[in-house]
Order: sequence, then structure tokens, then C-alpha cells
Amino acid sequence: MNSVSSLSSPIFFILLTLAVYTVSDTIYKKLKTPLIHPVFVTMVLLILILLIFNIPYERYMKGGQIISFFLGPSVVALAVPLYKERKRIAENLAALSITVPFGSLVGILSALIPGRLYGLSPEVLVSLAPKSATTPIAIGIAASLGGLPDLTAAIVVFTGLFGVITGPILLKLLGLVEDAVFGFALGFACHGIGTAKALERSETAGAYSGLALGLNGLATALLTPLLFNLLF
Amino acid sequence: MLTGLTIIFGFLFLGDLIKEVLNLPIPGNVLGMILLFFSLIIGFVPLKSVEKPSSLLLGVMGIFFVPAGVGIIDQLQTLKRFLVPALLAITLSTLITLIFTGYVFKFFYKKKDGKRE
Repeated sequence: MNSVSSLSSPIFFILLTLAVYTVSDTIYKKLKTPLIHPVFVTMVLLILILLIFNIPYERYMKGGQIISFFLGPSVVALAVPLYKERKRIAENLAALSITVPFGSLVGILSALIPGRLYGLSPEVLVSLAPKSATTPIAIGIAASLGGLPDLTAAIVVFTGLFGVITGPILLKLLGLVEDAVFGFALGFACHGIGTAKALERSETAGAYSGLALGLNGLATALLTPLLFNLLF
Repeated sequence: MLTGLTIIFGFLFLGDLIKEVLNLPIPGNVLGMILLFFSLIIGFVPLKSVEKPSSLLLGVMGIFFVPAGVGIIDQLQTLKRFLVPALLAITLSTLITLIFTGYVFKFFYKKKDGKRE
């Protein structure tokens, strides 16, 4: 591989990511089954490609980081669907002020308690606790409490993917189908990956999902250190 | 389109700057989202200027998560030691969080006519 330097250039890895994603997304839109979520399929295929051709993740990230970079402006852009829903959000401040702190608490404890029962070490538990928060918040929390930032990032992404694959089926079975409720639950439990999924449904679902992502991020940042000091 | 992108990147920068100066635990992009939201409300930023670039970014948001997801490759060694308990904790907790927030939010959420669900 090293003999052709174009094959390890950022352009090549951007092209590879775009191409694999485009194919996965096309198949996903044709088959309409959540089991082959394009983010998940692309990720698995890229991991296989890196393993087969013995390409270090660091080299892939020369292109990958250029793609990841756009998460920043995308989160800012969520202000637009949020603004369009401003009246409905103002009417539902009570619902938000109840759901956010308790939801966040449930999200953290439901990971910590089984984790503790299974005998996971404190540094793993702390990497596990902020799993529903958006990646930069989760990494910040884990690092400040002695967790492993890279492991946290992997756990956060896994949480998001697991949630968007199972969530839509689960929410439908439970009758939680209204756009606002669907989007809120997905954004709350599955951060940005959930929001991307909610945006597929409607702009309204996306707005509530972005709102949930931001609010749960804040709540998790406040609650995790508190809970950890109390419990351990 | 260019005006809108400039505004979005302007708020992203502003968010990062505020995070750094005030040493806040919130990421700059979330702060940028909050600031842009309030700027739209007070009419400092017209909706029309940011609508197009916003829907462009949000329409393809999924792909932006792929590189971080591929990062799991470097964690496979670390994860191996406690793969099963960690996976159980994550999957269980994700399902519980989805169900809990979904039900609680639905219970208190008012429908368009102002009545409770």
C-alpha cells in the first residue's frame, strides 16, 4: 500500500467513506429496514477494510477528521429546526423540566448499576456513565473523573448505533409514535446519531431530538460527577 | 448560502470561544446552537439566511459520525476483557433510557390543541 502514496492521502479516505456511505444509504432507502442503518453498515465495512489492508486508524483519520469536523457546524445548525418549534417548546417547558433531570438520572444509573454488578472497574464505569451524552460532553466527563476518553468515544457511538437500530421498533411497539416524542426519546438516549435518525422522519422530530441532545448533555455533565461521588 | 454558512461558522466559533474563556463543561457547538437559537428568536439572525445551509448539513448528518465509529477499531483490545458485561450494561441502559424518556415526555407533552396527550 505504501508504494502508492495517493492511497494513504486524506482524499482517498474521504472518497472511501463517501462511497461506502452512499452505497449503504441507497440500499437502506430501498429496503427500508432499520437493521441496516447506513452509519452502522459503513462503519463495519470500513473497519473490515482497515483490518484487511492493515491500515492504522490514525492514517484513516487523516481523511476521517475532515468528515468528523462537520459535526460541529451541524450541531449549530440544529438551532433552525429548534427555532421553528419554539412555540410548541415554550408550551412544553413543564414536560421538559420533568423529563430531562429524571431521564438523565435513569440513563446514568441504568448503566452504572448493572456495570457495577458485573464487576466492571471504576475507570470503565466512568467511561460508561455518560454514554447517552453527545461525544464531546461524554469525553469531557469521563476524562475529568478518571475514565478512558477513547473508550468513552467508542461506547458513545455504540450506544447511538444500538439505539437507532432498536429504538424505532421499540418506540413503535410502545405507541410512542408522535414526532415530538419519538424525536425526543431518540435524541435523549442516542445523542446526535439519534438526531440524524429523527431528522429522517420529520423536521419536528429532528427539532425535539436536537433539544433533547443538548439538554441531556447538560444534565449528564452536571449529574455524573455528583452520582459518582455519592456511589463510589 | 454563503451568508448562512458564515453565520453558522460564526456561532460555532463564538461557542468555542465562550467555552474556552469561561472554562465551561459544555461543548462549543452546543453553546453555538443555543446562541443561534436565541439570535433567531430576537431577530438578530433572519431565519431565511440560515435555512438552506442548515438543511444541507442536517440532511447528511449521519455520515459525520462514521469516522468516530470506525475508532472502535482501536478499542477492540481494551474492550475484549469486559466485552460481555459492558455490552449488556450499554444495551440494557439504552433501552431503559429510550422507554423512560419516551413515556415520561409523552405523559406531560401537550398536543397542538393545548390538551394533554
